[in-house]
Amino acid sequence: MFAASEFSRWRRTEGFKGLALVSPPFLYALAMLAAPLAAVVLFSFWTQDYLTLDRTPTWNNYRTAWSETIYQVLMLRSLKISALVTAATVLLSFPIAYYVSFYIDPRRKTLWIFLITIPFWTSYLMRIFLWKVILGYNGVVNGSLMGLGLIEEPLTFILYNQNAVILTLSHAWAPFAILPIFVALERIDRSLLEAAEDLGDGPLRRFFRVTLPLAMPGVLAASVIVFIPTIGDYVTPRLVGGPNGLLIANMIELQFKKANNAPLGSALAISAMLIVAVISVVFLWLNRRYIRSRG
Amino acid sequence: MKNAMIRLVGIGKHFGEIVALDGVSAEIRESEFFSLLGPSGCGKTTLLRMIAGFDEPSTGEIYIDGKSMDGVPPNRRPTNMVFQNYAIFPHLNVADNVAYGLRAQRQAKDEIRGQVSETLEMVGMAGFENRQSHALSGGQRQRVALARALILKPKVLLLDEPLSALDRQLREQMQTELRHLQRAVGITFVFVTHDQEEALTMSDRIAVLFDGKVAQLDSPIELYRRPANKRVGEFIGVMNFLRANLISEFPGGYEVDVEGLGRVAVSMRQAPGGASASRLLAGIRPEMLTLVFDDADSSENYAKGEVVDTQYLGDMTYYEIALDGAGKTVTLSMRNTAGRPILAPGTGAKVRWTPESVLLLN
Repeated sequence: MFAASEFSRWRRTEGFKGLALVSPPFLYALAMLAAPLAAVVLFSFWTQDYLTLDRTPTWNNYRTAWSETIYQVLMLRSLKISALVTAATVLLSFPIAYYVSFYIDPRRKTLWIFLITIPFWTSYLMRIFLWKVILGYNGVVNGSLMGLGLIEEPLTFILYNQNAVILTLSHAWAPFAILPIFVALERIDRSLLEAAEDLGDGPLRRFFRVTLPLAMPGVLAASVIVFIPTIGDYVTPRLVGGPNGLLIANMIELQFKKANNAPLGSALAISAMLIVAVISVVFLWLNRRYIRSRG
Repeated sequence: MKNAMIRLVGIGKHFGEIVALDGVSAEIRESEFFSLLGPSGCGKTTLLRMIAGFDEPSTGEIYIDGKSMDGVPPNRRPTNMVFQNYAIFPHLNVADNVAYGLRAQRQAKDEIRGQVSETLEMVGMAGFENRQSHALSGGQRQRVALARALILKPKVLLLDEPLSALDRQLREQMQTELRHLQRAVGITFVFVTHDQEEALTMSDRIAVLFDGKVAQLDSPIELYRRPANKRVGEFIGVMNFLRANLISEFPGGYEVDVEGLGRVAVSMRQAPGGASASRLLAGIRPEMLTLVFDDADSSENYAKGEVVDTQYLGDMTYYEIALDGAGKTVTLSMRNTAGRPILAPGTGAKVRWTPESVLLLN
């Protein structure tokens, strides 16, 4: 009796309403994200023994993941490519965001942002294949250059290597970098730019002393948004990366499938996640410092 | 007479169909506290931004210190600006904000530090060097903005309504401080405001702008005593307007018949626009009208009427008085000296005036 009335009173509180609202997505996330993640963590401490799993906890998988040259090389290559993709994406996105923010009539800005997202209505796989068409041996680039007589033989350094991976991924992630940078640029009070000019700065110095520092939160956010998913991508390197363009994610896939060594795959996955987490925390810390100084 | 620091020659500016400025010419003198006064939309901020170089005039030319500013960008002009919202750089602390312009000139670090603390002291912000800009109050922001501009020792300091965001008390304090500062540094100040009281108390000279044109350019005293037309008279202070008819012209002035006051002889000096218009107005300030409490007062110029409304303000009392024979009421102000009675609405009133305080306007 007492418990029932207590429960009905609790049902009317704000706390219960909040809980009721958040429960479905929370349970979904628990089942689809937390549970598999826990399973991966668990697997990483076990050992694959042909068709059976040895469930004795061991650090052996991690020892292998961190000491064997092949995994080190792949991990470093993944980090390097992700860093290059992030740098390329941010560098290419900044001028676009800057142009829309500073040179487009305010009434048309939303339209421009909308137009920027249009290429991304096409499936990601489709876009990778289109890049193959563009960069291939008999592709658009080689065809045009040979047709113009600028080259004798088709260029081979543009497809099936790391350059192709970087190019494809930078294009894929561009809108995700343009948006946060655009938002940061929009937030800059234009009178600050006039003040800088009034105090003696030419356009270039003004950019580096006022515009860029104030846009940094957007640049850092864009970097994190591009960097994290790039490390885990295994479709792009598989399709356009060639033998030397394979990354740690391809190795993780290999361990889970062909090599039938889920525990080692799990240890590699967890290791990669930890490294990405550490790098992201550094970025977030930098971002907070910038935001704090802005007040 | 001091030299002209800024010469504005026939400045016009239009944005499409809208005319923001229409043939403005003026000379702003060296070391002068000059105000651009007018209602919002009169073009005063546009004019200031043109002097700073943020906008280009559509027609006319601006000279600063004898040099044409045609095509000279803001960073190459001998002017600095205090923005309306102060435009303090949020990512820099107070010292870095103030040093911003010196850094652009690549001066030695110690030299910069010395000048920064000197300038901060001048604006009453000594010891605030390491304060983050978001931790500053409105008044402090303004002082930092001032220091940041003054440290570059510009020939002209431009101020775009810098006091409008402050509360009343701080605003009055800053008015005095700005005036003192201007005298101390001797730099030409061009001050934009819509507040006539602010302009009167601070300026050496004021240009009143209406609809993109200079309505009058004068000292505060002249502007208040002899406004060029009805609109200026209304905009600056309070002024009563009574209908007037020209009776005759005599050497040195006009004789007019003013409703409620009767016949008045107005000297040429008091009729800035002459008396050619068919509809003349006599303007008189509330403090130039006096209530006479002594019935035995035998002064010549007085009018009779009735108190319609009484507004008691402590040091002053404002009366609305319906003068006999006048179409509308006049406002009259009296200082509340010891023993002076306050008249209640409905009481008869005897109002004295002098011919010297009557202005003839078109």
